[in-house]
Amino acid sequence: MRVTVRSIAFMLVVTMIGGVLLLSLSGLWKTTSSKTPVKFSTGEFAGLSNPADIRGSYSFADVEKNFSVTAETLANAFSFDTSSKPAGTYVAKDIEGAYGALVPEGGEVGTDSLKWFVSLYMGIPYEAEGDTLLPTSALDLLFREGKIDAAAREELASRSVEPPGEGMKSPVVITEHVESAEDGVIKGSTTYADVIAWGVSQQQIEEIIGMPLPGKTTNIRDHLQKNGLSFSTVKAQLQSLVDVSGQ
Amino acid sequence: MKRRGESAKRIRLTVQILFFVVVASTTVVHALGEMGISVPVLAGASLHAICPFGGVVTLYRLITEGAYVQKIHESAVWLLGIVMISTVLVGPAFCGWVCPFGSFQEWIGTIGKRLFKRRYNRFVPPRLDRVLRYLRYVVLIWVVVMTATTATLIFSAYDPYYALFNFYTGEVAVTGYVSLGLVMVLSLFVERPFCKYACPYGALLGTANLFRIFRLRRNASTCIDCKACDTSCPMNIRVSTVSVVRDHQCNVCLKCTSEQSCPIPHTVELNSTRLEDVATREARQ
Repeated sequence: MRVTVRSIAFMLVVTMIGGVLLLSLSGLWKTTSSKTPVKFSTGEFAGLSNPADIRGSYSFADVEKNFSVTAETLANAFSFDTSSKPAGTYVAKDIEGAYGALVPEGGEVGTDSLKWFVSLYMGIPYEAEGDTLLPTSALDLLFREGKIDAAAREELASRSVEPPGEGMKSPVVITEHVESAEDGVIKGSTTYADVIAWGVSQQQIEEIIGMPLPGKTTNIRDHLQKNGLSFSTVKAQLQSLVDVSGQ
Repeated sequence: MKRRGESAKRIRLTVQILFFVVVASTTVVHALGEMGISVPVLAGASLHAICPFGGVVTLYRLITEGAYVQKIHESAVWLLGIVMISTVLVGPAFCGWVCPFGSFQEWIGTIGKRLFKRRYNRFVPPRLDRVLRYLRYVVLIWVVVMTATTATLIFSAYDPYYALFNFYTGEVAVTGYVSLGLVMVLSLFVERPFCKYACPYGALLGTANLFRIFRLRRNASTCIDCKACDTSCPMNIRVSTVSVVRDHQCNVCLKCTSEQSCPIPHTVELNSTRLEDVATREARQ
């Protein structure tokens, strides 16, 4: 039996395009991920989803579905604004977009940071890439919720980066901020009013930042970033004053 | 003969353009989707989702862990199956007719043909060329092993095909642009250089030429030894010296056949039966 140019053309078009159409009609043609990560098959974590398999296309809702971490927690950890967009609709690759410009050379905040955060949150071992960083807000959250101890937080601080400032804070973060006001730890969501409440005078703050306070309820990090000052430097100085006044 | 040859050329070109447009449209729609612009037709599929080679690289993980390699989905595995059907039947026609990157190289090659005339596609010394043709098996093994061990699409950083259809998305690695540029330049001198020397999927499909059901056959008794088949072959296969083409590089473009280059009817054909037997049977009737 001879196969001609015409018949081979017909066969290819029919098998390729017809095959895809047939698969589509039968619901078998899937071009996107089912968003179900691989599960550990053996060992202590058998049956649990493996954070290492989180993909860039996973939304925070997908992560919530597969891991015991809520989308809100993830949004807070990565300082995403949930007032204008629901936490569950952010996707892992949004992280890289939000942090791209802030990350120092040689570092990266992206999908691997999300894998790392989820693994730390769940206590599942995961080895992040050497250049992967976590936002300080994620470390604060892990520490606050007792997922890491002070020593681990200290250690991870060298692999952290300040989260983006304006327009990124969620209402939930503000709620947590109230909780943090009780423990006297300065972080991204802390306001000047909190520091004053912890026993530091306005004059002391103004000496450190070298300018008058814009308003007591102003977020410290946002204000410093707007004025080109280093939040981590000022934070350390203010924190030492808070620690002294608390003793 | 000339008119029939032109018609065969046009049919193949139409099929090549069709698949090129489908793939290009799919990647553009995907890129628009990434930017938040929704297009209902072809939505959702990335280039990885519609590349059957994705089905090859994910097979190990699919069998051992029941999961897909990053960015690969069910569609790639289905496509692998569909392509395999045609490959078992006629050989790697996917390479010669469907693969848009093969077509792209071929189209650039038309400039090379105009520039170098008969010297085109004859620059690489035959000895070196023969060895280099097996390089794509090294690439195939490297890609499959590395993808299986790392569970990531290791080849996409070097893949000129990915670079071609995603050059505007910002997702292409520098190495991808370099390999695309290299293939484009080489295509001016050599026909389908990537297919010949580096394509891992072509390497896999090419093995089907050893067992395909419909084989490219030459009838030695009617052949006038004009070598038109050899000259027309983009993969430099010496069709005139064999009765059945089993060369792993044949991409079933059918340029060598009696429908196109061969001047004698029924002398070079893709056929399930020996052409001498066909001729004898026809003579009896």
